[in-house]
Amino acid sequence: MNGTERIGVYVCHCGTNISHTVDVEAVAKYAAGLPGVALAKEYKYMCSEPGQDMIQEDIKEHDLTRVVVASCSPLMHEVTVRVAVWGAGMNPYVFQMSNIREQCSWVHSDKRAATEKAMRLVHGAVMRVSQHRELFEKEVPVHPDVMVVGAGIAGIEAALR
Amino acid sequence: MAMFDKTFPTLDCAACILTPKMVQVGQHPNIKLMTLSEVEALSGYVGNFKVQVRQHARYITADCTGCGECVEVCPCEHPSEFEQGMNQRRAVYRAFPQAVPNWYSIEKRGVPMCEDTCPIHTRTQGYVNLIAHGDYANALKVIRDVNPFPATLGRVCHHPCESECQRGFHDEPVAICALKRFVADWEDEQGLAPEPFKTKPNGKKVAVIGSGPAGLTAAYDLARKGYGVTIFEKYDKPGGLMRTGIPAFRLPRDVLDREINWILDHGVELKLNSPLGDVGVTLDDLESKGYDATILALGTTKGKALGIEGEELPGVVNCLEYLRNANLRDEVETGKRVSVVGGGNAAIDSARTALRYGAEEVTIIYRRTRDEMPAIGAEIIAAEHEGVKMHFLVNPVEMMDGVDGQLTKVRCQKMRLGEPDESGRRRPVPIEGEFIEVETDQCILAISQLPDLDFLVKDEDFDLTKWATLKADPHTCETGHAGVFACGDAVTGPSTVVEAMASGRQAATAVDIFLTDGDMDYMRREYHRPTDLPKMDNVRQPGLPTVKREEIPLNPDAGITLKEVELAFTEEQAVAEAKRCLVCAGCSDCRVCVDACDKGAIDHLMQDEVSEIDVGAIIVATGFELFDSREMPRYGYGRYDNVLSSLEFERMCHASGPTEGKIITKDGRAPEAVAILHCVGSRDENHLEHCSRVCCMYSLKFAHLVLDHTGAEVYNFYIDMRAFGKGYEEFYKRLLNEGVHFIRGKAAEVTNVAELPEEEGKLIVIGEDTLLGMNRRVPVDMVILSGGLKPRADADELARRLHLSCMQGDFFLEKHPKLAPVDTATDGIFLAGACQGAKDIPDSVAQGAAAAAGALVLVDRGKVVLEPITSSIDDEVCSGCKLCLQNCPYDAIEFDTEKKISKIVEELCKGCGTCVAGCPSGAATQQGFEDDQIFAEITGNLS
Amino acid sequence: MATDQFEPRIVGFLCRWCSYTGADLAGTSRIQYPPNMTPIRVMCSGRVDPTFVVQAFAEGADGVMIAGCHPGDCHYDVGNYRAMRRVPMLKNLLEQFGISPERLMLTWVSASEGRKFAADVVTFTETLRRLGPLNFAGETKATDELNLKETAPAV
Repeated sequence: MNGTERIGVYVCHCGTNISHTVDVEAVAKYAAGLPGVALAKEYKYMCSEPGQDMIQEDIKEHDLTRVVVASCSPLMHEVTVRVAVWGAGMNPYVFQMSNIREQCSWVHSDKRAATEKAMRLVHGAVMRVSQHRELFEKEVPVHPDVMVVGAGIAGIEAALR
Repeated sequence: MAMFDKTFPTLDCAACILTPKMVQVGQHPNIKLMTLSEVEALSGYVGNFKVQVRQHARYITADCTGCGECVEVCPCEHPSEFEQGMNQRRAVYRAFPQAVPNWYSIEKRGVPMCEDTCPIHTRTQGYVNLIAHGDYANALKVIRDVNPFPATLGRVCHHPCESECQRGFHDEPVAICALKRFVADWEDEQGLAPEPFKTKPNGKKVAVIGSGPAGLTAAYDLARKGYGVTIFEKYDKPGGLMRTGIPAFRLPRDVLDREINWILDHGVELKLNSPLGDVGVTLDDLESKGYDATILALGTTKGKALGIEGEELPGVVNCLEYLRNANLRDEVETGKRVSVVGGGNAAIDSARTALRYGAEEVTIIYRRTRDEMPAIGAEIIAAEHEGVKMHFLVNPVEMMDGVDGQLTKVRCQKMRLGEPDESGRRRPVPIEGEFIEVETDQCILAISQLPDLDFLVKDEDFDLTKWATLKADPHTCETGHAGVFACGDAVTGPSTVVEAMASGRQAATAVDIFLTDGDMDYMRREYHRPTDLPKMDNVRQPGLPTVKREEIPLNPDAGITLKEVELAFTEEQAVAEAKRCLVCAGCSDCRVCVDACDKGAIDHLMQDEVSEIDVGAIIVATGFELFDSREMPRYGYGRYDNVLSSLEFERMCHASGPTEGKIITKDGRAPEAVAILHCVGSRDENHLEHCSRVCCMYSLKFAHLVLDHTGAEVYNFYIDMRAFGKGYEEFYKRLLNEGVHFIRGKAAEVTNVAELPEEEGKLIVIGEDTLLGMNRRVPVDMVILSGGLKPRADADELARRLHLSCMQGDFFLEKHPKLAPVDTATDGIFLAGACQGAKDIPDSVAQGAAAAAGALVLVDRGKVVLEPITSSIDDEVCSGCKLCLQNCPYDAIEFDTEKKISKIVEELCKGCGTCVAGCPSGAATQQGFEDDQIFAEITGNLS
Repeated sequence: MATDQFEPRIVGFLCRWCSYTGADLAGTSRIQYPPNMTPIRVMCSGRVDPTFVVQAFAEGADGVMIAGCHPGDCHYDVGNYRAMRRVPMLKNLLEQFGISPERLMLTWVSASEGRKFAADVVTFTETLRRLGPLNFAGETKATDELNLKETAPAV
């Protein structure tokens, strides 16, 4: 870490899906104390519009250079947040998602242990994101043909459309 | 869906709503329909997939007009898949009348073992099935395509085909050989003389030395190709060992003469009394007379000696000489007490011949047991029947003479069987000190035969092998003398008629190539190359009834004379026997359909075609399979005639189905009561855990159809009634009002064991009615099993080829169960219909449309953004060890031979990072998954 | 941890296509398993560099789990075979460092195997509880000559 990074950490309640088993306030507080972290917040729904607006405003207002969102699985909302940080002028690849729902709050019942695991996961994400570089997506053309495998009613319907 | 009769809940006709859709697909200018095709492999990525597709050979070209003439002549019948096995279809067929495209195809499952094993690869199933259908003339045509000797081989062939016949693993093999004789004799009895094949002379001349089976077959093949062939025969009659070795009581002389003459009818010239060598014709003579090539088919004419004391005694003779005198001159010196040494066909023939020329007692001396005798089994039995005695496990060690120098005894060492030798037969080993003596005044040696080549090896172009046979190239049959080819027993050692014919054919093919394009390498490459079709070597049909093989009739007047002993099958026998063939190859390859097709659209040699297709998106809609109710034996499916699967019932209801729409029991009665069992196989921990979602509704539909068609009482056994769709609950209500008996409870068993008088002759469904809290026994005439929907058997294989994931058995896994039901984890691949999970027609159609929309969004956008997670290699750090080249699954790494470093080809890299993990110098990195990033995450996670 | 029971720390490397999705499925299905493992997402089990594993042990992990697609199912055709080849080698190496090879687990979890994923974490956590904390002084005889603390920074 070069020490100049300003990382924003956002911990999501996901209603009560996360906050039920993970003490999100404690996780946010813990994150705030990590090196390079400029601010750490918790919020009810990070995927909601106000949640994303908050990230965008913070990026501009606090000159954030990196973002970590601790919420659901990246397979779910990674793209949503990438679009949000990109909207605030940040490269979408200096953002890292930490999965504290599918692989933490939903699978554990001991609140204390789950909170500790969430802290470690956020810590990992914060350290990882400081190593991130800006990446640039590549656009490739799409071949205009489509193949349908199978010719029952579903296949026929798909082909005819 | 085309197999259904009506669809629920609207009761509209399945075919009526589907057919226009199928026709539209067939006619749509932008849809290329590839039927009988399968995806073999997938590469590329979203927007840029390459799919390898195998178009299975349909053996019928696009010229097919769907007229169906081929079906009329096809002799092969199989259960129709479309009609759920309730009807038969032919090997050339189309699935159903409305099929799109409306083409026929031929089902070839593989090469049948009978044909594969036959040395001359006779299309055995072809002629056998034509005989089954009474088309004897065409059956002969199939045989004569490769075999000019149907009557001869039909009598004397050792028929290895029958040993491999798959029917033999069930009861007894089909009597293939006797069927061949039947058609050949039928032709003769009808007074029909076969027309020779038309030939077009090509002006080239080939000499064939020897008129045994090898020489005659070579001559036949070459003559058919247009060569002018002359056969030079040493004796005064043609036929080689077929005449000199095989006795007339097995192969009547007129039969052999007729078949040889037919070969000569193809313009082949025969010169008798013309041995090769100084006294007859020499290779130089042949060359000077303008022969372009020569085939030596000299056969074996010398008997092998035992090499024991007393072998030179008068009374010790060789079988070849003995049989030759009997067979050519009808005159042979024969003792009173004859012994024959050996266990092959020559030994048996010698023994039986001796009985016919005055021997009072004939004994065969064989060093192994009866099981190891190489002679044809039926011949051994016939010999025993005629009174030939057999001494097994004895080996002659000395021929002993009496006072006048005449043979009196053969002294034999007793043997036992040891370990198997290289031929697989157990090797006889002597038992020390134990001997027997066989009293005899003539001993015929039938151990083995050798070619007589002394005169030939004087020419330095010819060599002998270590087995004293003539040396020739095993592929091209070429000898050391240019333009001279060799085949038959002189090259291979003693063999059978059909094996010699195969050798003759190989030499003829080699000569033809030698005299045309000269690509002798072709023989090495292609001649013995097996076809791409699999061998049908493990065909088992459970439940096939046992049918005894027809017995070959014997001539009651033959006695022990030169009259033929065996007779041909009667026509009834032949047809019955031919019908025992399982047609395991699907198509019997008789090719009568080729002549029946006006358009010339049938090509039995068609091959599969593999092509690579570029597409931007893929929609997988491979459907489901019906649960096989045989897995639940308690419902009696497959055991009781009137227990039907749901699809069988669909076909039964259909106007064009096997009963033309009549709901009747197997014996043709209208049922008085019908039970319909829901959830067969589904919602069952032992089979399919899931609810198949459609069974309740189609069971209701069946109930309605039974009521509507027959007025029978209907009993539906259900667990829960799931009528969740639009109009479904209303349909259920309607059925309640129609008077269907609904019994809540899964049926426990279906039995035919009656306990009450009213149950006699009925199927009784036993189950608990959980609403009444009592057990019920419901006697019915028909039971319909509403089987569950399960993933297709090959779904996991397809998943592997397309990199899809599966769950719930092998249903394909969608990207998200709610929000992305038609997407997969791989961008650009979509799912539709029951391959993703059991569902009804409306849901399948909706998914089809949704998947199409997903694919169209991609195509319409025209561009796709790729995650920048590819790997790269640092030029400065790379040590050029090339380890990454092996690690990369995509060949996406090139080696720069100048700079001696590896380089990632970015277009091909898919970002798995395997090269990075394996890079010993740390030169490779993966964007977004750099070592330092992961290290940092590890540190953080462990803090 | 509050209880007396030893709670091992586990680093898990999960391939993005099968195992990470399988772990997510365990979550959506609310299948409970011990919180000892912290997952790290990689694109393929073939991406797991042996140094990742060594680093994890050096920084205090008691166990490392690598989960990938079942053999034959790899999204990248054969990436998991590379992992399959590397792991036995790595286990050998760990043994020489004095780390019990049981502390490294390679498992196959498909995207539909949430239940299996949870079961694997349970089993592995129990194995590590039985083994106790990673003892740098050596768990096997071979450790007298090699000391992880000296070796690890060089990796």
